[in-house]
Amino acid sequence: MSARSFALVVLMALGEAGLLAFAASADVSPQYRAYYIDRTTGCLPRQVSGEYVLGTRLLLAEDQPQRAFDNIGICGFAHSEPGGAWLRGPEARLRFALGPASVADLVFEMEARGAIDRTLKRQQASVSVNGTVVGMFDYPDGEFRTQMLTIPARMLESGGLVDIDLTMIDTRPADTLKGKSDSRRFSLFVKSVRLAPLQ
Amino acid sequence: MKYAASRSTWLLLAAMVVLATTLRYVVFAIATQQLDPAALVGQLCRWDCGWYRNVAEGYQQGLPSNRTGTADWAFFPLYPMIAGTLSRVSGLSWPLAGYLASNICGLVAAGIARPLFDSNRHAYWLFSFGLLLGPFSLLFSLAYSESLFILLTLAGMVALRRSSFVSAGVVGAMLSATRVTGVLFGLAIAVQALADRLVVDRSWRSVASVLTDTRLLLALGMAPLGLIAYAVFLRFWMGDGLAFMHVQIGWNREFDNPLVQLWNGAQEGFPFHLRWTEQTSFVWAALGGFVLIAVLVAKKRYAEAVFCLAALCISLSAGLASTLRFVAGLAPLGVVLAEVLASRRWLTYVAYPVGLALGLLGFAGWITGNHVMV
Repeated sequence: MSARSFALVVLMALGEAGLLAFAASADVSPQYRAYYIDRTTGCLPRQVSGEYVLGTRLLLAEDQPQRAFDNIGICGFAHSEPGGAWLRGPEARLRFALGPASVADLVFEMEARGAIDRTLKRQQASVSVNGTVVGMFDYPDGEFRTQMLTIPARMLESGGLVDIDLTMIDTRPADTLKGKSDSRRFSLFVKSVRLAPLQ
Repeated sequence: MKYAASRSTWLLLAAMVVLATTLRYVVFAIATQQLDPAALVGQLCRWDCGWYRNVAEGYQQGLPSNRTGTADWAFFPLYPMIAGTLSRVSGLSWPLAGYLASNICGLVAAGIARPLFDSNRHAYWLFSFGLLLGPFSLLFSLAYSESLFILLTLAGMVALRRSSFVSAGVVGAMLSATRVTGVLFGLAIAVQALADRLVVDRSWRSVASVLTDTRLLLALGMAPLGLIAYAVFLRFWMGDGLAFMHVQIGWNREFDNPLVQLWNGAQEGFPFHLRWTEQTSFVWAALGGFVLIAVLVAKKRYAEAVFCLAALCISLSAGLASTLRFVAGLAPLGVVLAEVLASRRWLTYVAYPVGLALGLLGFAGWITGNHVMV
């Protein structure tokens, strides 16, 4: 090989290495980095309409219509499976748009079972409404339970938006729960959610 | 070129494409009770077809609006660019342009594969029949990148058989712009170069001389260019050049040891349990792939074997989903299977009707929503 050919080949290799290094150095938002690259969260926030008929129980199972839940699920929920959907990572958010006329106290219900294993025997989620902590959902074993919290009317925003944040106390590795390679971390398997006027 | 497809060969292949289209239409009409050909093409555009359409219209920027973060960055650009251009130039809808582009890929793939079979006409015709009418012929009706991938792989194999490394490098660059596993064609080029040298001279000096072959190094440098170009594009477009890899989390695809993935999948069904699941089909497809790779090794076709082995392992490392389609998309496996079947006359005669029946069954499964080829 001539020196010129060798130089050209080396130049090409260096050029490719440089381009690859540039491509691999991500310049992305913190949400993108946390969700896709570091995988430290399962919450990739997205715009949702919050469209919801007050009192409707939304079932998350894969054989149920997904649109209604897609309208309120901002982030934190994995693909629907038979029976429900996993709450993925330490945080999940829901948005209910009830309209400006909503002035009554409300009840938020969630039927779920905790992701538990030998080391973690119960799952707990701190529930915030429009930024204020209102209580704790407790799932003390692996059985499905319906937990509910009252949301006083004074906590509702003037536009009728109800933003509910669920912050998990702990999560479990999905691979120990599912028995196959899965680096995600799960906390609750949610069967249904419902927001209704307080009776 | 010796054993290039003759005019009559091309005509016969074109007749097979027409026959395949006609048979699919009949199956569609029977299965769905619809007679509108446009409905057939629309019905074929399922699952990833929509993603490829998105790519043809321009990659997504910003965070995805769906619940699990899936996005079109996972889909490499060359196939949707070709089908999208066909759609824009001809005014055809995306599903129809995709259908046409994939059928053309199938026809050209069968034609250019002729030199790979030398004087073994029985194997060639069985391969072509399998490609256009056989169990995985469905791939040439879908707006999916497999059709182009198979065509380019066959073109690369022909180039390697002729030791035309620069041509193989150009094909490799196109392969790496079609699917991520296309970048592995560089391995095939390196192995073929080494094998060629060792046939002439088995000394270490011969092996070392490979590293001073400018044409070979140029080919090896060209092979990943498609992937690099796409990664650089993504870096400029949405900030992450490796988004095609990172976005796999949206489909719950996790990278792990391919054998562990295979073992986990195998435990779900037959023979560990008396049930046949989708995972079971994927596991057996992978095992079939490994057997055919072993046959390639036995036939001393090391370059093709290494390419298929690496591609299969990379695919399996991200999970078992779509394994059947990925195995079917590895053209050297189809070539060697045709050679094996054609080595016994009775097997050849059995393979034609069985292949056709499986092809029509696979097609019927696709249009009625079966997931096994997804």
